[in-house]
Amino acid sequence: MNIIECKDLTKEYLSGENIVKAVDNVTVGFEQGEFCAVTGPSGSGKSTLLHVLSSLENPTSGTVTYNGEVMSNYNDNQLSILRRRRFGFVFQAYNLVQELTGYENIVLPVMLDRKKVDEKYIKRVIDMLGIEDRLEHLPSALSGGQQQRIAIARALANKPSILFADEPTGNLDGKSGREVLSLLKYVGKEFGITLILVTHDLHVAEQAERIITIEDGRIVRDSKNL
Amino acid sequence: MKKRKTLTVNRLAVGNLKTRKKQYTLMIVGILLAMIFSSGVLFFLSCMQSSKQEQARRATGDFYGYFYNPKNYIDVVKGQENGYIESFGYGYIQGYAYTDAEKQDKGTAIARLDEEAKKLYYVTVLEGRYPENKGEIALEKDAAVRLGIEPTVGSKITLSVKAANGEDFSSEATEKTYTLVGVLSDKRSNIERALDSNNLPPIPAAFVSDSEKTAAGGLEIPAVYYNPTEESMKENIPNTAYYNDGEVADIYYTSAFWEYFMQEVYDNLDMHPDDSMARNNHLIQVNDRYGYTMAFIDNTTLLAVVAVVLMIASCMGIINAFTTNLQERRRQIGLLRAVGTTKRQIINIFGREAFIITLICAPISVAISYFAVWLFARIMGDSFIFMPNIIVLVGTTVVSVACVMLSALIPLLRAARISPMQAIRNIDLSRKMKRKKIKQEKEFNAPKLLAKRSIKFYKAKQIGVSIILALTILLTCFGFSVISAELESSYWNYNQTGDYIIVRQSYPGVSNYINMFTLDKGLTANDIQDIYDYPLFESAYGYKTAKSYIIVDEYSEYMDMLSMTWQSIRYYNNVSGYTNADFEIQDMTFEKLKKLWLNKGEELNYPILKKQSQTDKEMFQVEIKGYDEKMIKENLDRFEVVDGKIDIDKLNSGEEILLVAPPEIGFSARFNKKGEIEHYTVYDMTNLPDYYYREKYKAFATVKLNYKAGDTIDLKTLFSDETNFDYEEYGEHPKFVEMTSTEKQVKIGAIIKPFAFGDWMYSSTEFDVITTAAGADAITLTELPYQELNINFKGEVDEETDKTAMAHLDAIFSGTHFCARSGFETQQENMNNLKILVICLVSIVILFFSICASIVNNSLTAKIRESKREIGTLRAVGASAKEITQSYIRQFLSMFGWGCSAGFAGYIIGHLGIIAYFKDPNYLTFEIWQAILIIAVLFLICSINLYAKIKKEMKNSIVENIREL
Repeated sequence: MNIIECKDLTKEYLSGENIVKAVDNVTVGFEQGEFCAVTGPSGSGKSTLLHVLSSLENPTSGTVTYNGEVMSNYNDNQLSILRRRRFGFVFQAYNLVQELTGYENIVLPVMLDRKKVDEKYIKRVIDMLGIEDRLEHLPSALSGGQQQRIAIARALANKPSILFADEPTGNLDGKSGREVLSLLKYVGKEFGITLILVTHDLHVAEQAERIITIEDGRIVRDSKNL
Repeated sequence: MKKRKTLTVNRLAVGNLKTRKKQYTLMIVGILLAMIFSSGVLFFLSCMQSSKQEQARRATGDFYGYFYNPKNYIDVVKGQENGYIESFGYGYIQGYAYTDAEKQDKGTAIARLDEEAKKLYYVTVLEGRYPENKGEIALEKDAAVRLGIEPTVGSKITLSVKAANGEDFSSEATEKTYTLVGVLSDKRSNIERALDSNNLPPIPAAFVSDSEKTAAGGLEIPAVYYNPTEESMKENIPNTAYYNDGEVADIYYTSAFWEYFMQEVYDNLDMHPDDSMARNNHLIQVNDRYGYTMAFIDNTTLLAVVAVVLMIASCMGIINAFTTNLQERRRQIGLLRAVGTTKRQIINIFGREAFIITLICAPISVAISYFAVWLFARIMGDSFIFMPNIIVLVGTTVVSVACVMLSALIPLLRAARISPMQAIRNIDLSRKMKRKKIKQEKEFNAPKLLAKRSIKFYKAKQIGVSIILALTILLTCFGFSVISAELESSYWNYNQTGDYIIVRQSYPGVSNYINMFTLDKGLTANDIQDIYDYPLFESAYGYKTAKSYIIVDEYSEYMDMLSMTWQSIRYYNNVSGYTNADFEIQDMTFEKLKKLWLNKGEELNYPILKKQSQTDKEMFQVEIKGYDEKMIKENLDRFEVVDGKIDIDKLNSGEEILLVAPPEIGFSARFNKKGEIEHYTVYDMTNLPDYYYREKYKAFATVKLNYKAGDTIDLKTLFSDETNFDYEEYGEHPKFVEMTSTEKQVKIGAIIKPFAFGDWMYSSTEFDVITTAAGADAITLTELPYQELNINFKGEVDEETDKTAMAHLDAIFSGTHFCARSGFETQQENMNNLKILVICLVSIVILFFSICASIVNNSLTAKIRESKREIGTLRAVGASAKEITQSYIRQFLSMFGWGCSAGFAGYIIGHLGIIAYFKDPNYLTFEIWQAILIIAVLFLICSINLYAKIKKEMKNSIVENIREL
């Protein structure tokens, strides 16, 4: 059974006076624990698909279902709770809260949820990502790779079901990129998390179990990477 | 091939404006508002000044002085050539007109004016027009009333005219009929009132056209309306030196202009320099324009301070608008810097934008503020005149543009410092964060921690907003305190005893020691009869006064103390020939002062008086006040009787009087910082006046009253019917040839404490004799005239009845030393003035409040816009709208809390400081609710704005928040 799926999903934007279909009637589903790469040329709509799937944006038409429930029925508050408990996000530009330290950024979703920090689990994540000595620093004192590791740790803090990654290696050098990618892959497997990763880099995409290729907002290929 | 347009700074600036319409709209609105405020303030000041000047012009003309019949005495053309006179115009007096042979003193001189004189006299036509043809006449309103003419334009009026003969008016009058073509606003009556003299030359209040010929055999008398040059008025020439023991003690100065003119008068008229009568008769000073300007400056100091504060607030608004705009474009500026744009070019590009915006805003804002002030002046009625000239218009525009450009310079210079790295990364923030030491939290309340960190990292900005908030609260609180104090001021609640009151408007130059009822008629029984001719007047009552003396063998200490202070203050101020040095009051004691008084006494008026009244005994001056019995009876319970009792019948018969005297008086002095006596006074020790006197004055001698009820006193009253008396022999004191006196022995019925109640009965520490009107007549053996009358109206006064009642009273008292005041009109006027004042103050306070509130709101808006990305991130990681709002509300509360506390503390300290400085706890009202209201309104406005802005950001999708723009 798919943990998340969309049906006839369309997302349109207004660009000047023209309507642009970023996602055009897409129907797709993702299974629990699956690592799927969404790829395609720039402007093909891959990031938009990820944003709509993860409730960062509302679809123009069509539905997104999480665990059998239609997400468009949720109000803003319910969506916030869903994002903080079930989803994790990793962005190309890291998007850390600049005023919080590395550790504070990591536990932010837990604190927003007013829960106690599962220190064992967090420690494990931190160890896994190799960032224990950067925790007290503010993001501005960290390198790109370090920031992205903090971002991944933050995404994992609440033990999410799905981790959405939008070009997570886009701002990193080759070595850091590869490390981040293998970390993502590893934590996904380790915690049984569905990993939906958007990239235009075929080398990155090839690491995934499943590759979806999008062109002009439509899925042109959906294949298992064996 | 199509030719490409060259990229210029202007094109870049215009391009920016076009592509960032939304951002610029906000900035333009902010700048427009600030410019409207700043130009509005300037227009308002100009309106205040023009109103004052125009009112003065309308009241007494646009000329400084008037010289009657100067033909042989003063060469005004020469005066102009020598730089003493700026402008002059000629009036030609053709005769003196009246309607009733028995009331010739209520007539007016008729004149024609040349063009320059018309301009200087500032002829203001209320109805009809100025005469253009032969046989036409225009009258000032008051002149028509005095003549008993209904001022209907187009009507024929017949006047008895004594033709001018070149020097004076002929004794015979001929009848002349004119067509009344215009009614003019009053000037003559205002000039006469202002000059308050008995010996004025004829000032025309009736005007005919240039083509009018004087009566057969007549010869016009010229009169010059002139203005001196400002330089000649400002240039001081030592005129008289006063000596003390052979050394110059003081020098009195006159202006070069007066020196010149006095010399001309003395040379040509062969007058003694001290002959003020002669001077008055020919040369009069109507308007002191230089002094007036100074007075205007004094009056408008407060307004100017307010204006400057508002201008600064406007500039702060502009700085804020630009800063917000440029802040959002740091990346663009960084990029421009990265591709090689110099700092100067950055200032040029963005400065050009500011200039273009200013040029667009300038005419709109000037037009709006012009219209607003014009509307304000119209609503406020006649007392406000808004007549900006081209200089004011251009000046206002230039100042507003300069305000914007100068204010814009601060954020522009800051923007130019942005490093190219800013284009890639927010390095400013990174640097700032690296410098801050923070304590990491293991577990935390997310909104609280975010707010705490934000306050820590953006402290400077938060302090800025807190300061603005504090200033807003401080100044608006003080503003409302002033308004509240004004509203409570008894001045506005002035309520006269009668519906109408007949009061003195001027005093003829008569003696202060002797009653001269021929010159100073007062209000007679005939006047009272005339008042009753108007059927709606119910009753008229008032009081009489007479200058009188208690005859004693020797002054008591009590009398010494009173007379000494009274006389020496008079002496100090008025008697020429003595200098301040004679009254050096360092280390002054009561005894020393007494000695000084006794030594100088011989040269004073008192011995002269004694000589003239042929008495060897001592005379102590008192004023007899005779109130109508009704007034005494109505206020009987308000007299504070110290000894004896009030018996009205005995007062009426003149057998008894009431003596107003404090049981104990004290001689007190105020000291300056060096410990010297600065000023001295005598006050009632049993009833210390107020806080100010208690604090500032130190009493060092006290004396008890030596009279008790039942004592008998001799009262002597001096009279003279002379109208032509000689001042020369005794200086100020006239020498009387004919003088009569009455003497009467009266018993002190009761001793009452000095009092101050109502508007009609007032007596300070001076020794006064109070009795009934009939009693005053009986004591002085004379039918004394009334000095003031209160008239009661039958029923309620309304606008219509007030008009007719006032017309009736004006006709009786016009041209006399008395004038009628309507309680209805006074109340209306007071209310109107209060309305104007309150509207002005409230608008200023609201204006300032709005500017500051908008600055605070702008800062909050900018803060949220800057944090757009962070809001997106927080939303992505699961923060709800509530949590994000909470975080910002916490930040806002911190700023608000500090700002309010500082503002409120400042207000309390300032308030206490002012009270301590003025030594008066009632100097300024402190109204706690106003401060709370201000804080509540400000909080509400800012909270709503903050909430709306967060809500707006929340409406965007998270992706829109996150994306860098």
